[in-house]
Amino acid sequence: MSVLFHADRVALQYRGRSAPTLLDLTLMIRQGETLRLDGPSGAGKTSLLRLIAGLERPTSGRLHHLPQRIGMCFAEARLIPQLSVTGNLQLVAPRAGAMMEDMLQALGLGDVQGSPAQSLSKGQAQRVALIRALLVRPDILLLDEGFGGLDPRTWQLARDLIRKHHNQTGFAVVEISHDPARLVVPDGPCLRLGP
Amino acid sequence: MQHAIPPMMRPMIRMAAFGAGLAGLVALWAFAAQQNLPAILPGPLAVARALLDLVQDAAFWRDALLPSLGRAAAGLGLAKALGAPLGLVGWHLPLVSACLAPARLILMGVPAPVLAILCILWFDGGPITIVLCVCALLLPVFQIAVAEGLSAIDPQLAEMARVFRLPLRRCLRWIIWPALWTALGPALRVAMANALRVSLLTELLSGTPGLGAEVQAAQSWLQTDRLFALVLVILALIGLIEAALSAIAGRRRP
Ligand SMILES: Nc1ncnc2c1ncn2[C@@H]1O[C@H](COP(=O)(O)OP(=O)(O)OP(=O)(O)O)[C@@H](O)[C@H]1O
Ligand SMILES: [Mg+2]
Repeated sequence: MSVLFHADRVALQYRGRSAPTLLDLTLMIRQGETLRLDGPSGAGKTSLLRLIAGLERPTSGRLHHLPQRIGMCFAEARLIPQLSVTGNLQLVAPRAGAMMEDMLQALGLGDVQGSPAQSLSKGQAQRVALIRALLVRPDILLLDEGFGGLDPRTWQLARDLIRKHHNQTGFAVVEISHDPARLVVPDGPCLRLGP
Repeated sequence: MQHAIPPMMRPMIRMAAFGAGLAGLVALWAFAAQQNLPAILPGPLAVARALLDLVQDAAFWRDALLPSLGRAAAGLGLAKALGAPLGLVGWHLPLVSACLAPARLILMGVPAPVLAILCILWFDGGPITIVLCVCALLLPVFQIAVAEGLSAIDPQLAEMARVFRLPLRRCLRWIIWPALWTALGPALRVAMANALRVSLLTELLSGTPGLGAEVQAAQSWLQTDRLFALVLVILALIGLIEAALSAIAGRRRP
């Protein structure tokens, strides 16, 4: 299966920091694989996710592959506040049409699709952000603890939607969650970062 | 007791208060005019008559009002065309911004009349002088506004756009422009009114035919009613510009 991300003995040290956040990291992610990032707060989980997304560049080592189409759920929803829910989704996927409708219904967002993003609750915004990440038909889905605001029932709906599309299209999943009960792939491989 | 007023009534009450303030001012003016010579302080009626004459005079529109507005607009456009790229470059490269700072500080520190006199001295004194003077005064305003607006771009949204590979057009429309407008909108409002003020000043000082020269002529011929009428025209122009801009700004707001 094709390689989406390949880091070879990579280090990442932020400017002004005395110690590197990531050190001597070698990691390969192939199509369809899942990976869970674990470790205490400040261990560098988000930093690795950002490296995969191409938002950070390693200070040493080499990146042989970077994924092309990325669906990312940041820790924040990062929606355009003045744009409606559908507007936000069409911004990244102008021809999403029926697929968008289905996903909005599946996550119980049918009633708010015309509302501006700034009027959404945190959990609603996070669901919209998830749909946005899925609508771009990603090669890889990056989830950074985006689901803190969801009640258990809604969380299950979100998880089922991700699993369904993961099974259909076979994108890779890299997820971060502090809560072991809230993993899309609970029994998948895990990478522990930090001390 | 503010809370007792229904929201729908509030603009009406504000307008009524505005009208009352205006009426008070006119009454005060009428009273003061009775105590003075018309050449010193003409009454409201005399000024209204002069205003009517003025707006019915095609030559005034053709030779004074439109040329002055044109120069102000040209100066404004030039300032924007030069200031915006400078702001962009300065925002991107802090060294360039530091390098431009002395010139900017001089342009912003020198009082407008002094700048006008220097412009008249160095250039031919004609319409070009006025355009250049307006431009010199407003260029730093646009430079700063663009740099500030760009700094207001939400870095989280900018990252989102990068990850999702948003096309530049959509980025501009939804991420860059709203941030830019927060600084550019108010700057444009101030700049438009100032463009008119400065072009009047420069016309007045250089004697270039236009609104400014009309003001000067009215003053030297002691046509004080005409002078007042001119001031009213200028006030109306600035008011119109501000109203138009705040209407645009209001529509742009989410
Ligand atoms: N832009 C940055 N500049 C400087 N230091 C940073 C930056 N981003 C992260 N760091 C540092 O890198 C380290 C790892 O941060 P990171 O956000 O990757 O942790 P994390 O594992 O995601 O933590 P959490 O579970 O709390 O989200 C921290 O010490 C953090 O302070
Ligand atoms: Mg994190």
